[in-house]
Amino acid sequence: MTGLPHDSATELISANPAPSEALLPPNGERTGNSGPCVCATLRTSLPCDLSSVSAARLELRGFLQQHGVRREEISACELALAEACNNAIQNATTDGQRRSVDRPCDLHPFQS
Amino acid sequence: MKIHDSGDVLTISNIKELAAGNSDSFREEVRAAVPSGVKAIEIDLSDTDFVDSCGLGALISVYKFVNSRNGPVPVRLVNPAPSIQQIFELTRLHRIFEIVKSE
Repeated sequence: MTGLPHDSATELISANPAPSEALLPPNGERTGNSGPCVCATLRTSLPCDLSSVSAARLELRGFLQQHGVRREEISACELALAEACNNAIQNATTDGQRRSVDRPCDLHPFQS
Repeated sequence: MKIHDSGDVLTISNIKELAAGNSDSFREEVRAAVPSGVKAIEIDLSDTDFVDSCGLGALISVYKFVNSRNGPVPVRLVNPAPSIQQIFELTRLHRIFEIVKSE
């Protein structure tokens, strides 16, 4: 993966990497009660530093674009990720500042 | 980021993002560049693809700074992307800033 500082780690786990269709269930089909179905997961780990949030955000954007997520939803996800990371970093304890910030992102099939 | 002072209008452009990572430097650079007697501030958001709460805070800080020094001074946000304009509308900041669409 590119875009993250050298001491960051990003792991993409994709069970179904096909774009667009990956998030859409077959007609009338639901995932049932067996728990949420995860199409793909992006695990991002970034240093406890505000300057690293932008790269993590861009990594998320690329991941969501790859999976056919709509632009408006990508913007909302980017904002949520950035605000969560900012809060975690700005309010980290002294001990926490030495740790990384880990943000998993799971994609689930669309359910109406 | 580019800052252009035409005398009456201070124009800030080439802003890639306004977020926690750069909002402090944005705030300080703009405040330092505001000339006395400025009539308007134009912040070109054409190249800006992301704004978070820290970025909003920086913009509000600039607005309060120029309006405390020079009386009523409009702060115009030029060509924000739809997703960014939505943030200003959701936070009601479009009532504070002038949002301008240019060609």
